[in-house]
Amino acid sequence: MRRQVIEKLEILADAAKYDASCASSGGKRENTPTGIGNSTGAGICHSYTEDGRCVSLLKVLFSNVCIYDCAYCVSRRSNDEVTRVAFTVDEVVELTMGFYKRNYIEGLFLSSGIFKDADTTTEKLVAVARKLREDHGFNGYIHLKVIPGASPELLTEAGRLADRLSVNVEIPSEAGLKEVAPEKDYNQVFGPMGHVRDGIAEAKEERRKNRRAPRFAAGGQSTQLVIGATPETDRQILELSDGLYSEQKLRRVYYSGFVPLGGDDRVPDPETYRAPLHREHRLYQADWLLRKYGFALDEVAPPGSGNLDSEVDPKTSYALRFPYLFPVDVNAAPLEWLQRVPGLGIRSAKRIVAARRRGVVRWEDLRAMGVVLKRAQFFLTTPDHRPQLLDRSPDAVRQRIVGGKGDGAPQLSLFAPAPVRLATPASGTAPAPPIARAA
Amino acid sequence: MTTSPTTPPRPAGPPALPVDPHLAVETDGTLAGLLCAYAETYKRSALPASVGLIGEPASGALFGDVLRVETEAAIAGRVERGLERLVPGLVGRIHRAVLGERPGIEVAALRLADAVRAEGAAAADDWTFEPAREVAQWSGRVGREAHRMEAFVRFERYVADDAETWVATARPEYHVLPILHGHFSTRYPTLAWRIVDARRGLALVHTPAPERAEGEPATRIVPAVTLGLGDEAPDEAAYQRMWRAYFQAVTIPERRNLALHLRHVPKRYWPYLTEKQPPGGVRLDAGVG
Repeated sequence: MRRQVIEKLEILADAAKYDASCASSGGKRENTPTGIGNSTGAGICHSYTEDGRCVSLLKVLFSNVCIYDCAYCVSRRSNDEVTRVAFTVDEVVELTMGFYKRNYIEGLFLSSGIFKDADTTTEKLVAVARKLREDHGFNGYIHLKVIPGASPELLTEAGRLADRLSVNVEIPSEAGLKEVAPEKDYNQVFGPMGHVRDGIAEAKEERRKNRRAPRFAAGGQSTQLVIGATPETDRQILELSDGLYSEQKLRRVYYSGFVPLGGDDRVPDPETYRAPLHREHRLYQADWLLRKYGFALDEVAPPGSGNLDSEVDPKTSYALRFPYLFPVDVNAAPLEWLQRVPGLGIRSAKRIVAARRRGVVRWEDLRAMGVVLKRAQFFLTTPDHRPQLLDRSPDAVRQRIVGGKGDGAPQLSLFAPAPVRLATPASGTAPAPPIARAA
Repeated sequence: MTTSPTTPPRPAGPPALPVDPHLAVETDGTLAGLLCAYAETYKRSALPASVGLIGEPASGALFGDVLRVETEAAIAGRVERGLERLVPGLVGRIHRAVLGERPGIEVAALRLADAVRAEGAAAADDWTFEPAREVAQWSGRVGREAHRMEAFVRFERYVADDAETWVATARPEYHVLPILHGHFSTRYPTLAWRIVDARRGLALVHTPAPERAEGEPATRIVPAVTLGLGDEAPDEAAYQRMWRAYFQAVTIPERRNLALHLRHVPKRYWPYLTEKQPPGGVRLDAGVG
């Protein structure tokens, strides 16, 4: 039996790996004295794949049998290259418990191909979660993927059992979606998403009145957008994200640079995938500015601006577009302004503000505080540092940042490596991906 | 203590104390000992130039006094409450910093505590003030190592006479066992588990509630050599194989980025990571150091 499970595990983990989300944060589930596991606080990455992504959850499909034929998905109906398998509920439960007790994982992220219809599929996912919670006293993290089109009753139960629910938008425009996933439309996606949003809001309200009211997906809701399988620009993508944060109250939007899977000519071919990986990195930086740094969408990506600047990070790009707002006085600027300085993060900005209460912050203090001086030097002043270059020539500043070791190299390698196994040279300017050809 | 109790620290109290270059103190090496050392040196109106361990030759103050500090829970508690009232979380920060085992960090901690007493809470987060920065940075390093242990520790199931024990071995850079118990006790309250620090020859041992005597703490730190192992559980190898298979399957080859991988999982952790063992399942370091 083991042998069989290990083979299924290989196939169904391989099929799930293109889902970028692996977060185990935001949960608020405490353990009981006789239970096992908890999911409070910031989440833990228990390992990292060789491509540098966090491994926090056992991320598998329940089944890779699928009636849909989405061009960007490895499990699409028309793909003859994959072996079709399915776990049983007990197998997933046993794997999760065995892995969790060994401290391999924070919990389970269960998704599935749609092997029959939305409800039959969702029922299986819910059954796994129920068994873990009720039969095994499992209080670790559970992230369930909502299958587009699932019924509200099932979603309600899923929300009670899971810490996070997600329904993937996948393609950043409905026209693009129709192009590559003929069976899907935005209604199927946003219907359940809205239901989950309302469930989360209701449960929060109930818990305000009664501490013992059940939680509903306390870790929130997230989604994923595939970058580069269809022709949307970064501005269009960020517009969608911005709406998802404000209207659907999503906790996170994940961006997944499209990795061509071969054999489907509705999506770009393997030579073009460097650009999506590069864009993915910049989109995460921009997303961060929207969520954590108080930037407005138009500041990060002006209307009609197409793709983000590929040479410099979005914050530097913003500063170069508005040079007259800089440099900022380290000893006087409010926290919100310090955070807008390239090379300063939320933490270093807070450290500056804390140190200011007792005295003057000087140039040499900044490095110890974690400021990236290579970039920040052009945009801030201290009593002993008065940069002039930005006033005279923003372009020269750009040259210095791009040419030096300031931003580009080390930051970039964090998320969007130059993949090793490709003959085509990297393109420095990340052109918009070619228009997907119609099948 | 029979003399008048130390006045509780207040902001804008007497000015910060000078460091006496000839004064060395010795403590039992615990956090409580360090807090008592602060109470003791405060009474003498001077901070020491070095803090050593009782019974170990002092290095810093060959020509001066050596003040031996007895640890008293009541005094330590009072100092702790005073500091916590001024800066919530400061004592935890000092504790983590000291576990970094960095020479001189105790003196920085005493200077920080004294600055907070004399000048108020703002001193604690002022990174231009060296003791505050040093303590914060070391606290950060030790905290990160502890967090990595929470992530990278791998339990293996052993059985002896029908009882199971979950055993993990690690080699943490800093002495993090004292701050790991909370996380693992809450997570696995019903399991008998232990985490062995192979570098220091110590083990954090957890006993589940039903098997504990009244009043016995859930975890304790003991010398690792006193612990025996049962036999590896029959299903252990299979789970390790499955985890390795899973780890291989989730990598996207087109995105492979070893430099980034190494930043997240430096090589020094590999000998104890199940997913980094060869397929045969033979551990690179099976023993207890």
